[in-house]
Amino acid sequence: MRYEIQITNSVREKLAGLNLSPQLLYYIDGHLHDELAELPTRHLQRVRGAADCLQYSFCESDRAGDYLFVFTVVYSRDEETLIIMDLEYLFEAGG
Amino acid sequence: MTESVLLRLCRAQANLAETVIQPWMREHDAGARARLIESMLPRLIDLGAVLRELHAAVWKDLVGGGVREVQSLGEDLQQMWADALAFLGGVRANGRECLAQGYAIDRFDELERVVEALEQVREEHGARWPWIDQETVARSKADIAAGRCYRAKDVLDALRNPNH
Repeated sequence: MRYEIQITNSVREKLAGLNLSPQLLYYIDGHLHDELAELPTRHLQRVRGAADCLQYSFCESDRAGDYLFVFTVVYSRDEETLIIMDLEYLFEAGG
Repeated sequence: MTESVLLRLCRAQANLAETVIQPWMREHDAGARARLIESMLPRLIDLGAVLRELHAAVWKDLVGGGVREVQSLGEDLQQMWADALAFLGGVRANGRECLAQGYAIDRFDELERVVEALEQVREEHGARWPWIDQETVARSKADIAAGRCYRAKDVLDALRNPNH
């Protein structure tokens, strides 16, 4: 079963504000739909403690440097959709 | 995985050092305390170096894709920096007291630098770690309740091709 991936409006605004390159947006698309949507149980990590949510993370690089993307995710009520609730990222400039 | 093992190892080392040293801290004779602190300083300085190495290794691994439990590892590390600083800061405060009473402690300046470096580590960790943003999560919950959710593919396509 392939899950649908949705993004909340708040995360959409956050993502737009990051001004990521088209190349990175393409990579993100690939990770979300080729990995997470296909096998969420393999790729999602449960966060212990008060947060009580799931996280999905991956690294990518472009000409500027290396990036770590961390998505906070929940299953929707229909259990066929994964909704991204937060997006954080780290950037390390290339050497 | 590697980080969690290293983390447990460092935590065990710090706990061991703390277990050995804490009873000495209650020693009333400042001269005796100064000698005991001096005898333990090489190990404490080594512990500080190992903790800094762990910090550097974790960050390298984090951006290299080697960390999966990002939030949980971040919280564990944050707790460890706090515990290590409480312990080593306590030794430093005790040592300063001994120095103020005229008892010399060889290499004490190195312990001062260890504690300062760990304070920087704790600050950097707290400020740079990609923590879950609870404000965004709260807004997202409101978005979900109001039906303000979009297909990720559509959002990413729109951002990639803003003129279409």
